[in-house]
Amino acid sequence: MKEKLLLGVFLIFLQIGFAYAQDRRISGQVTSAGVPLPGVTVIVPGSTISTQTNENGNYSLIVQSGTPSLTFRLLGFVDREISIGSSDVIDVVLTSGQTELSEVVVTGYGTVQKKKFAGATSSIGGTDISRQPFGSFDQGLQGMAPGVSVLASSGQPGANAVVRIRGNGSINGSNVPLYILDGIEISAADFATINQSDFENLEILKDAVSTGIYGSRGANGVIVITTKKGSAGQLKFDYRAQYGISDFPKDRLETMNSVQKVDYELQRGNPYGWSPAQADSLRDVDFNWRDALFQTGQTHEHTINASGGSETSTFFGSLSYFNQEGVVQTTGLERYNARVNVDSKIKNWRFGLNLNGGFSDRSTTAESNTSISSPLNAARWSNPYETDVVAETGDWNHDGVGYLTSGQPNGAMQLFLNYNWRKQIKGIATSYVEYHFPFLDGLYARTNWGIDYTQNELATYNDPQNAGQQARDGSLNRQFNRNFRYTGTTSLHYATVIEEDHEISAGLYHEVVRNDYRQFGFTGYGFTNGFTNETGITAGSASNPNYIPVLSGTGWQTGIMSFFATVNYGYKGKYYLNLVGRRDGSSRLGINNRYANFGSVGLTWSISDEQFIKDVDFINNLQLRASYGTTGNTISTTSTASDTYYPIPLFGRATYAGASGWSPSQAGNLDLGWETNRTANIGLDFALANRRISGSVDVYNRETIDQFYQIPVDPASSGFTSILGNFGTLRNRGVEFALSGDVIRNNEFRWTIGGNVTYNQNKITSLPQDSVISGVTILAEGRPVNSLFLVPYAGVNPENGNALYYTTLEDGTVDQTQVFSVQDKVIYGTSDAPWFGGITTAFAYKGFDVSALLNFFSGRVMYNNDRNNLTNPQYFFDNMSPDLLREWQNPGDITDVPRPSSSGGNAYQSQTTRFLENANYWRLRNVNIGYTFSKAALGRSGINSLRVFVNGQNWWTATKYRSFDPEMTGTSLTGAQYPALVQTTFGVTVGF
Amino acid sequence: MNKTFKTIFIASSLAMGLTVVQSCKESDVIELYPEFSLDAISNPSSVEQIEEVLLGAYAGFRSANYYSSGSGTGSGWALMPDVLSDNLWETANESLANSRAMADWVFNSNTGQINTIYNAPYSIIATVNIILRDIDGFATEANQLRINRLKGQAYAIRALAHFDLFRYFASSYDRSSTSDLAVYYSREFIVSTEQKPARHNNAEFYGFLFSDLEQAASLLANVDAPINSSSSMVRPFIDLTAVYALQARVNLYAQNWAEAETAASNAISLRPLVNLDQAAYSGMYNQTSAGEIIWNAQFESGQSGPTFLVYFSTANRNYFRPAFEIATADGDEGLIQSNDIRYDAFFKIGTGGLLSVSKYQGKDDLLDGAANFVSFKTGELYLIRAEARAMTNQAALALDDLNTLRAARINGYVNETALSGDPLLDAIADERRRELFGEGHRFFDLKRTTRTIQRGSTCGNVGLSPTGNCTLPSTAREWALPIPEAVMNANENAVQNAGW
Repeated sequence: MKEKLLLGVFLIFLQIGFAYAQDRRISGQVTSAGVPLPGVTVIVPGSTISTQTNENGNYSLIVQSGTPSLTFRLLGFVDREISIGSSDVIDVVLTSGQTELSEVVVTGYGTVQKKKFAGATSSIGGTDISRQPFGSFDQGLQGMAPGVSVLASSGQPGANAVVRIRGNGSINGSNVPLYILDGIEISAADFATINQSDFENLEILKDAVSTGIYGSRGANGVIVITTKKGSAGQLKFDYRAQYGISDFPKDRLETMNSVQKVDYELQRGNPYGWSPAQADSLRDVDFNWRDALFQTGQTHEHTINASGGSETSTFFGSLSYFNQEGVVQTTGLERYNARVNVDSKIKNWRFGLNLNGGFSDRSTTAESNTSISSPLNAARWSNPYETDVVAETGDWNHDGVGYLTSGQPNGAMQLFLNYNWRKQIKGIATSYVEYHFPFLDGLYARTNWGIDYTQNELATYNDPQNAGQQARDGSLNRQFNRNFRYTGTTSLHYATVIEEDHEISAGLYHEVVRNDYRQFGFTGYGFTNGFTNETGITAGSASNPNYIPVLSGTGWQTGIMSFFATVNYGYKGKYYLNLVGRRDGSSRLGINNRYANFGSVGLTWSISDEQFIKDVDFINNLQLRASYGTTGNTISTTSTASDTYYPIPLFGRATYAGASGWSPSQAGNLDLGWETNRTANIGLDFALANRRISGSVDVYNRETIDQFYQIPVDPASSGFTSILGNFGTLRNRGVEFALSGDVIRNNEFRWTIGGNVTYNQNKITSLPQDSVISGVTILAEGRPVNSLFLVPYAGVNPENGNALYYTTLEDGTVDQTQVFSVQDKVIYGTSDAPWFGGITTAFAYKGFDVSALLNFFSGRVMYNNDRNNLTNPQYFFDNMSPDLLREWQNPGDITDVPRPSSSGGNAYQSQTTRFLENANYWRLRNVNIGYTFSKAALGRSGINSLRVFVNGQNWWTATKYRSFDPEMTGTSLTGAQYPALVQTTFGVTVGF
Repeated sequence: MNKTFKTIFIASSLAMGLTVVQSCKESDVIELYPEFSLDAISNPSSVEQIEEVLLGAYAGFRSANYYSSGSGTGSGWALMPDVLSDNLWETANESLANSRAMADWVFNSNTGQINTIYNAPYSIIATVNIILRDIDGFATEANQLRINRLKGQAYAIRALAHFDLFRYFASSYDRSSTSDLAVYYSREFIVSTEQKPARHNNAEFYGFLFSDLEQAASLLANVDAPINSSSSMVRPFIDLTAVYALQARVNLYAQNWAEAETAASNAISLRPLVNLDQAAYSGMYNQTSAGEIIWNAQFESGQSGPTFLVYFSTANRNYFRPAFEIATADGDEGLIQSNDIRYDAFFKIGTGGLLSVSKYQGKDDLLDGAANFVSFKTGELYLIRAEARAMTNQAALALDDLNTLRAARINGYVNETALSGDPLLDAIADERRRELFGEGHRFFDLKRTTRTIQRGSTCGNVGLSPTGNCTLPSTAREWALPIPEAVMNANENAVQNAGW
C-alpha cells in the first residue's frame, strides 16, 4: 500500500506545471450587478477542464486552441455559455436566479444533483465562513442554515461552538454532528488548528436519506466540508490580510461600586469594622477590576493561496497565519497552517492527495466555573475598594498568601503569574485512487484513505505566590495526548441510462474507521528556584513527600467496520428514488449487540417538470421531496469515562497505603445496543416569479428510540448509582423555512433579502423513570430535555422580610408560603430555543457591497447562577449585585429582596425562579462592507484584483438576560463567563 | 448484455478483493478491550487479586464523602458530624458556603451531600461483597490463614460501612425495635436494574451487623501474618483490635452495656494508653507516631484528606472554626485548654488570631492536608467502657476510666473523686467531646443521648457566622438524614424517614 501511494504522489508531482504548447489562456472577471462573483465554476463544455473565480471574481484558464466556448456556473445564478472569440479576455455578467439542474449536494461519498436527491440539506459557501475571524470555524455557522443551531460556549480565541442539527436527539449519548473533511472523519469541536479559508463549501446533511449513508454515525446530522482544489490555468496567487480589534460586550450583570459596597457593608453590620474615616477613604477608591484584567484584543490574519495546473493535473496550496488576542489579558490563539492539494488524471486513473498541517498555540483562562481563583470570577467578586497592586510600592496587593482583604484571591495575580496553554499539532491527510473501467462506461472503483492526527501538549502552572499554592509551593501540570484516526473507504460505482427514461446509479462500499487515543501527564511541585517550567520542580522523596509528583496515563481504542450500498433511480427526469442500506459494527457497544442495520429511502417529484406546471410562467421550479430512514448513535465520546468506550463491567485502579488495588469502576452492560433515530422528512423547494423568489420548506419528525440511559438504581445492591442501558424515546419535530428574494435586481443595483427560521419541538416521549431531577433541571415525559425545574418565587413578606414562595395546595389552589420545599418545584421552559434563525441582506452598487446577518434565538430560558452568587447574602464580604441595596430592612418595606439572615426560617434558597431569566436574543452577527476596485482602476499595475473590506461581529445585541452575553450553552450560566467577542476587522484581498 | 454482466462480475470481484485486503481483521477493529482497566467478567482470578480488591475497598474510605473532603464539602464521617453539631461554627468571612445546607440544617432529600453520604459506604460494601462472593473459590489447604486474614477484614469493613450509614439514616438506635427502620444490610453484590432492596428494621440490621463482627473477630484471631506492621507510624488495616473497638462502639449505640465493656477491655488490652506524651499523641495525626491508633484510614501525598471541609490548610482558609466552648486562642477557656496535650494536637492560632482546626493539616509540618484519619483509638474505648460501667451501676470503675484517660491528657491533672449518676455521665460526655473532637462523633453522640443541640455564642452573631439556626430540638426530623431523592425515585421499596 505504501509503495503504491508513493508512486501515486510521484506521478502527481510529475504532472504539475506541465502544459501543452498549443494551449491558450483565457482570463476575465465574472460579475453580477457590478459585484464580482467568487466561486463561479468556469468549465470547458464536454471536458474536465475547469476553474473557479477567486474572491474578486477573476478567473484564468488554459484551454486548447479551437475550444469553442466556456460555461459559467454559480449556485443561485443562471448558467451562461460564452463562445470564445479572438480575445483572450472574457468578462461575463451572470444574472441571479436558481438553476436547480446545476446544483449538487455533496454527500461526502460523492455528489448528487439536488434535483435527483430527496435529502434535506443546506449548503454554506466557504467565503461566508472564512471571512469571519474565528479561531474555530464552527462559530461562523450561526444563523446560516435552517435547522442548525449554533451557540458559542465561550469567547476565548479558539473555543469551539455547540452545534446541534435538528435539536438534541439524545439524553446521554452524543448530540454532536459528524464532521467529514474530504471524505474522512475529523474530530468534532476541535477546530482551533484548522484554517477555514481553505474551505470551498460546507454541506449540512439533516434527514435520514442524506445522513443514512453514514449509518451509525449519522444520527446527529453530518457536516461535510470540501476543501479548495486547484484549477487548470496559470499560476495564480491570492493574498488576504485582516487586522481587527475585539472588545468585551456590555455587561448586563452589574456589581456594586465602592460607595454602594461600603454602604451595604455598614447596613449589614460592618463586618470588617471600618471606622468612619476608613469607610470614607474606601468609598473614594472605586477600582475597576475589569480594566485591570481585560484588554482590547487584536487580531491579525494573513493567508496566501497559490493554485494552478494543467488539463491533467491541478494543485492548490495555502499558507496562513492567524493571531487573535482575547479580551482577557494573556489569552489568545496563534496558529500556522499549510496545505497542499493535488489532483491528477492519467488515462483511466484519477489520483489525489490532500495534506493539511497546522500548529496552534492557545493560552486560556479558566471559565464556566464558580472557583474564587478564576480571574473571570474575580472581576465580579473582588471588592471595588481593593486594588490589584499597591499603588505606593507597585507590588501585588495581597495578604502575603495571595488573598485580598475579603478573602478573594487577587485575580490579577492569578491571571498574570499563572499560565495555561495548549499547543496543538494537527495533521489531516487524505488520498484517493480511482479507476474507471475501460470496458464499461460508468463503472469505476475508488479507494479513499485518510488520517486525522491531533496531538496536544498542555501546561497549567500555579505560581507559589498565589492563593492556596503555598502548601506545596506551586504546581505545574503537564499533559500530553494524541489521537490518531484513520478512515478508509473502498467502493465500486456504476451509473447508466437505460432507454433514455431510466437513470440508474449505484455504489457498494466498505469502510473502516479506527481511533486510537493515548494520554499521559504529571504534576510537579516545589517551585522554589524562580523557574516556572519543569526546571522549577523539586522532585519529592520519602523524606519530602509534599513534593512527590503525581503521574497519570490512560488511553482507548475504538473501531467501526461497515458495509453499505446506495441506489439512485430516476424515471423520465421527474421521479427519483434514493435507497441507502448500511450494516455497522462498532467496538463501543455491548459484546452481544455490536452489529446493526440502518437504511433509508427517499422520493423526489419534480413537479415543475410536469407538463401542467411547465405552462405556468409564475412557477420556475417546484419539487417535492420525502424521506424516511434510520441512523444510529453511539454514546458520547466527550466523557473520559471508560464505559463510553467499553461497556463491560470493569475494575479501575485504586491505591491504598502505597499499594495498588482494584475497585469496581463500572457496571457495564453486555447487551448495550445502538441508540436509533427514525427520521421522516417532507420538503418542498420552489422558485417563483422569474426566480426572484426562491426557498424551501421542510417538515420533519425525528424520533430517537432506545436512548442511552443511565438507569438510576439504589446503590445498596451494587455500589453503582446507575446502570447504562437503552431505554426511552426522545422526539424532535419541526419546521424549517428558508426564503430568499431579490428586492431590486438590475444592472446597477442588487438588493436581496433572505432568511431562515426553524421551529424545533423537543419532547421526551418515554422514560424508564419519569421526572428525574438534577439540580435545577428535570427530565420529564412530555417535556423537552433541559427543562428548568424551580420553586416559584413570590417575593418578600413585608411583615418580616422572609422570602415567599408559591405552593400548590392539595385542592389545587396556589398559596404563598415562607417555607421552601422542593415539593413546590414547577417545570418552566427549556434552555434549548425552539425558535431560531437568521436574516440576511445583501446590497450591491457598483464596486460597493454590504451584507449583514441578523440572527435570533427565541423561547429560551436559562438559570443565572452567576447572579445567584452575586445575590447570596452570605457572600457579602465580596462584591455583590446592587439589587441587594433594595434588601428588606424594616416591617412594612415592600421589596423583592428578602432580609439577609437565615434565622427564622429564611434560609437563602437558590433553586427558585428568582434566578430564572428569559434568554432570548437578537444579534447582528455579522456585517461585511466592501469595495472592489474595477479592472480599469487597477490598470496595468500587475494586480488582477483588489478588494478592501470591513467586517463586524456582534456589533449589536438585544437581550434581557443579565450577563456579559446571552450566547451561552447549557441550562445555567455557571459563572466565570468568557463572552463572545465584539469584533471589528479591516481587510484587503489582492489577486495577482 | 451477457458481456456486461461478466464485466460487472469481474469488477465486483476486484472490488471485493480490495475490500478483503483493506479490512484487516474484524478483531482488530471491533473486538477491542480496555488496556487501562481490569475486566470484571473474568476477574478477580487469583487470591492475589482478591487482596488487591481488598485494597480497593480500603481506598473507598478515602472517597471524598467518607473520610476525605473537597473544598468545604465531604468528610462525611470525619468532620461532618462535628459541622452538624455544636463543635464547630461556620465563618462569615472565609467560608465559601459549600456546606451551608448541612451546617444550617436546611438540607433536603435532594441535597447533593445527602446523596453522596448515602452512596460512599455502599460503594465500599459492594467491593467487599465481591471479595466475599469469590474468595472461597481460591481457598486451598495451604492458604487458609491467608484467606482468614482477607475475609476477616472484608467482614469488618462491611460491618463498619453499614454501621456508619445506620448512624446517619436511622431514626433510632434501639437494638430491638422492629418498627424503626435501619438501612438495607447488603450481603450480596448484584448488578441489576431489577434490584429494589428494602430497608431492614433495627433488630434485623443489628443481627446482621453483630454476625459480621463475630465472623471478623473469629477469622482475624487466626491469620498468617500481622495485618499492620508493628514498627510503623500508621495502622492502615483493620485488625482484631479494630474489630473489638468497632464491637465496643456498636454495642455502646445498642446500649448492650456488658458487651460494650468487654469489647472495650479487649481492645484496650491490645492497645494501651500512652501516658501524657505530646509527641505520641500529636504524632497520631501527623504520622510521626503510631501513638494509640487502632485503625487509621491512610492518606498519601496528593490524595486529599479529611481537613478541607473545615480548614483548607493549603490556602490557610477556615470555613469552620472550633466553638469557643471547646477552645479559645488564649487557651484558658473552654473544654480543651493549653495544659491539655489535645490543645496543641488539634488547634493552632490561625487567621485573625482565632483558632484553626489544624489536626488534619498534613503530615510532619506539611500543610497539604494529606493527613491520616484516626478512626479508632484507645481514648474512645476508655470512654465507651466508662459510659457502659456508669450505666450499669459501676460508677467507681467508670470514674477510674475517666481519671486514667484525663491523667494521660492533662498536665497536672488531679483525679476527680466523687462523681456518679448524671454528673458522671455529663463528665464522660464532655470528655468524649474533648477526646473525639473533629473525629466524627459529636452529632451521633448527641443523637443517642440528649437528642438536642444548642449552639454556642457565635451562633447568630452575623459579623462572625452566617449560621441562623442555633438549636435543633429533639423532635426535629433532621436527626435522621432523609433517604436521598435519587434513591427514593430509583427504588420503589425505599421508605423515607419520618418528616421528609
